[in-house]
Amino acid sequence: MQLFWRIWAAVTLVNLAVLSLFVGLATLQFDNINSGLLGERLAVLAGRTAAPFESATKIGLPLSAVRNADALLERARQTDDAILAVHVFDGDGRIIQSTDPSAPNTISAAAFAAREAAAGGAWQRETADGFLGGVDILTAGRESVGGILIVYPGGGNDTGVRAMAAELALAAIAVAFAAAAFGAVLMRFGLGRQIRMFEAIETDIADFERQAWRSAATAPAVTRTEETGDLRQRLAAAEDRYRATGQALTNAGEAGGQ
Amino acid sequence: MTALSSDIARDSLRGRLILILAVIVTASVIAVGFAAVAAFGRAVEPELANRTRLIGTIFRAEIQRALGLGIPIEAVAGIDRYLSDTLEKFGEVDRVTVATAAGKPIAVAERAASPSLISRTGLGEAIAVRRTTISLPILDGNRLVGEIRVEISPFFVESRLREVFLDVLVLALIATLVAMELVLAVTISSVGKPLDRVFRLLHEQRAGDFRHSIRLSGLGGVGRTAARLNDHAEDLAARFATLPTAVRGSIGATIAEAGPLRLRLSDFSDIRLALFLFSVATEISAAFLPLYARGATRPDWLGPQVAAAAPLVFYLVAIAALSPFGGALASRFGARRLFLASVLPTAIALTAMAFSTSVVAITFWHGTMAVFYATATIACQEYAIRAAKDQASTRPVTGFIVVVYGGVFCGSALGGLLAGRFGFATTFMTGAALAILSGLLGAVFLRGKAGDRRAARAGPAAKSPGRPSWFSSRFLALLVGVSVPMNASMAIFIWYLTPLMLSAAGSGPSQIGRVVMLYYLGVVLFGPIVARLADGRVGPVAMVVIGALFSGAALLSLTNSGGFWAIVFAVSAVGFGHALIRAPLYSLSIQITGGSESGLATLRLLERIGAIAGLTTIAVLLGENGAAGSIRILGLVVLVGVGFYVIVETVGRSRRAIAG
Repeated sequence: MQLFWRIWAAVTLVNLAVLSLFVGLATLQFDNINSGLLGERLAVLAGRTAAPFESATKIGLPLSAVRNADALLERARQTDDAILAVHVFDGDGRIIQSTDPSAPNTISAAAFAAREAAAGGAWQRETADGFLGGVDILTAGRESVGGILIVYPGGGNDTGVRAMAAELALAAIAVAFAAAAFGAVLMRFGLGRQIRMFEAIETDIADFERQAWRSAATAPAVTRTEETGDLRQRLAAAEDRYRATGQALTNAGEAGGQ
Repeated sequence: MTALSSDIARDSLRGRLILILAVIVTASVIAVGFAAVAAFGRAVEPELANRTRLIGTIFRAEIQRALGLGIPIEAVAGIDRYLSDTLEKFGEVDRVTVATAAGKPIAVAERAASPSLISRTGLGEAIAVRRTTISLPILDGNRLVGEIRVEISPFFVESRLREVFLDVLVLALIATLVAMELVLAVTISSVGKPLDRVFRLLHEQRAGDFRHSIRLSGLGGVGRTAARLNDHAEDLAARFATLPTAVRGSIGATIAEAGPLRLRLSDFSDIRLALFLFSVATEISAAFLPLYARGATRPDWLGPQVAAAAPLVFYLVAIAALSPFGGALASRFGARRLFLASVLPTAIALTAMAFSTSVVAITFWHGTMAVFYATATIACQEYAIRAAKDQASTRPVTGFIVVVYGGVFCGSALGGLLAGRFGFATTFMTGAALAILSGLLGAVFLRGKAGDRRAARAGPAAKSPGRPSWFSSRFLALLVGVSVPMNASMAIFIWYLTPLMLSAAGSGPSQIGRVVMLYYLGVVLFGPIVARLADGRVGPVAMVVIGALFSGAALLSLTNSGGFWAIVFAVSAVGFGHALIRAPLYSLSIQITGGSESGLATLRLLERIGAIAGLTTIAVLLGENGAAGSIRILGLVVLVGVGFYVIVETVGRSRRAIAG
């Protein structure tokens, strides 16, 4: 049974490790999906907010010439109470309009990098400041003169991801317990023959050892006829060979000493 | 030992244990995966509702703008067309209805829908997929004049969940492969090897050979027996050392003169865990390398498509350049030292790729990694072949290939996932860490004699004064007719054309990755069965021929039908065909060449050259022939090649029969 429990423990631990890995990877995947959905929504919202600004830039007006820019941005912000700020920035990244009275002078370096990488398309990135989503404002000649940046809190997403991790971990623990019980039954029947074979090896070795100490007291030999009886004979043959060699060494030593 | 052979006991234990483990892990992962999909569905619902509300708001704003100009809601012109246009823009919207305040519909736009897969299978109810509907009032000033109702298609939710479920399946496969490797390592180190060592030492001592001792390990009686047998050897060695030299020859047994030497047994499974992790590490960029290279800075004369392909081509060139020397290096330095020496440079190359910003740097470091990937994998292959009792058997080679492809499979999937979440740099750094971990495992597991330097060879190839044994028509036909077309079709069809065709059919990177993985999955799933068939009555020649015919036919099937599912079928079928070929091909090569290093090196070299030449030719002619034309040519080359090999093999057999 020692082998059985050892294998059962190994299988259970491996299963637990695999489920832990799976929960980790699945949580990452959920975070990806959640971020993707949020990013797409922010991109749609940014695109919609950018439209009136683009109408102005397409006839050659500067971004700052758009009337009611504050209201346009505020309307976008009110689509979701969680939105922290909606900014309009110029080609150099300077924020020229914002729903946030304490908005920074320029967009963050992370926003710059994400915008560069998107090369004119809609973009989103998760940063320490929160989730950023944006779109460029283009002229009639398809040149970028600035863009819209929406700042969304990252904390809510993190809470959702942590909740998902906890839910999956709980499910994994329950499944691991069930699998451990199922595994024990499966191994009992599936590995029965193999475990009996290894147990027979153990028994043969024990019989051989018992024979060794009984022979010292000239007790009757241990008699057993098992399928592994051959192993005991091998052990006995190796032991005999060892003793014979040891005796030969003793004899040779005595002969050498004379 | 008669009824109980340690080999039989160990092999049957291993086989059944893998089966049981696969059942337990797969069932567990599917159960948690099912829970994950249901939880994902519930968790994304608020975000989907937000999207629906936003879409409704956009519709409403446009209608209210018209109302603001004084047009009554019933008279807003072109509202149907506007709704239909907007419906096209938002894939997830199934139906939009504009109704008056009394509930009379004014305009309806809807998408033709068929029952979804999830709803058809009844899975929808289980994972709470339902139609999301949102209604928003339409105001004219402060007067309620109507309502807009937006219904989000359950297809949209289903498609997102289908993506998730496919990802979950991929993760389950990764998890099962990792679990199998881990449990094999545990079983072999705690049960298989201790038993093998005890039986081997017992066998030696019965024959009067007391020169060796073994590492103390194993359960209960096995551990005690190991200690006892070790003590025999140590006792006799100590007493033998005290004898005068003159009488030492009179002892009728072989005894260690300066203490017993540690017996180091090799098993081809020794390489499994280290090689698996090493393959995961080196293939971690497989899913995104072209994108990474295309986005890096490049010289003005280098186009983005060529830049994307450059690391891949140089990877093949580097491997081809090293292939002729890999076997010699493994013999010269020993498989263990060569593997361990390859690990650190690989980790450095992966780290450097994380910080590379130019195509030149990425290509250079990827090429560097390829060189050490080649040395490490050749070292492991050498170890596996030497450790196998029957060196002509297909099993060690199959084991090697299955482990490498399992690693490729896991590496590309894991890399895609990590890159999507943490970025390319973190993914490369993870690869570097995994490479180091594989080195540590290699240092622990590759301690058998098969990892030592090879003694001076005394095989028939070394003795033969004439033409080298590998320079035979059989071997050359096998190379030219089967091996080169197989590798060329892998590089051309799987690495190059499949991503291009799928991308053109509208598939994203993750879907492309999943389809490409099907190719490797064929080798992982069918490799062991192929080994048994090739070693059994079917034989390696038949396996190679059937595999080549199958893959050729699979390629030609694409010339009649295109589209996503046709590509999926062709990739899977080519993967299956190649799974039938790979291990028997190496086994045949070893049989024909007698395991000659130069023969195997020639095989490896020509495989790579074939892939490079094929890839370059098809890339250049792609504009002229198109993807379908290129695949047709490739399929014909495969079929003509196998025909040529069958003719040479048949003629050779007839000659041997006449001569024999």
